[in-house]
Amino acid sequence: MTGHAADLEIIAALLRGEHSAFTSLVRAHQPAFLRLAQSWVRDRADAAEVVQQAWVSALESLATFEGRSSLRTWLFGIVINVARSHVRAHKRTVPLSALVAEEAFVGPTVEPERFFHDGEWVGHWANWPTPFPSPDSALERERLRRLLEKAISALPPLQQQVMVLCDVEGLSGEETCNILGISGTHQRVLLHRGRARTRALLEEHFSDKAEM
Amino acid sequence: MSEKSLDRCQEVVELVNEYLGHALTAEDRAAFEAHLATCPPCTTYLAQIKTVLNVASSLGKAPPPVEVEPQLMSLFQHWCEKKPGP
Repeated sequence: MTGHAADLEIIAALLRGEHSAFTSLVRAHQPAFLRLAQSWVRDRADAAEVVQQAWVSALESLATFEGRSSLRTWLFGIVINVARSHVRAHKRTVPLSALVAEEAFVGPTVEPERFFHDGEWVGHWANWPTPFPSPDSALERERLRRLLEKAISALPPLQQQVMVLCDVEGLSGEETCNILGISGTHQRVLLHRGRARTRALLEEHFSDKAEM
Repeated sequence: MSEKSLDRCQEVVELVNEYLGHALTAEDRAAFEAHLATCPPCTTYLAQIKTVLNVASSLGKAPPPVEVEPQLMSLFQHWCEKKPGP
């Protein structure tokens, strides 16, 4: 079954009131929805409220799903819209244009002091990056997962949303742009900065450990 | 014709995403890889970013928090009772 046909089958099952279809959908998407909502409303309880409201909105507009995007992309769009409305209603909003300008600031992603400023080795690493442990062992993988979850949640909102959609959920750049309403250039810059910042946060952790 | 060279690590780290996303031109890709072949710290940097991506993709496969489900199921039940029939 194609992705599109599978999506339509899920919707038909939901409209028939099949609980198992809804359970599967929740299991597949709830963690991503919470992660995404939390990048707008930092408080966990508020994020859970946003996600719950998003599910209500999704169910109520289910019959209007036209399949122009995948069901997953459509649902992400609903979460973002509900989260934006929630933030607006609580007057904690920053204009999107301001966020884009701030977070897509074009400058080096690795601190300039990590490199030689002059001499024969100008532009080369002065302070080499610390290797991360390999995620191949289950123990290290779990540790890296916890650290990364924390590092992503510490990113500025738009970088966090782009990284969650592209790197955690595996959406394409185009799908991410459509959901967030940003240009391809901004999406690439935000992703570049988000990944670099996440890497830096992880490195900070492992460098501290190495010095102990 | 001389080949393009990418000497400074500071420039290389800014191209890592384009490299991983196959967005570099063939010439830039060759220069990037030639730099990596002689630069252990840039190789480490690339490996770090790859680890971030590898672990990030696994976060999307985590199970949902169990405590939310009963609430959502009652929400679905409520919707089923309210929605117009087929």
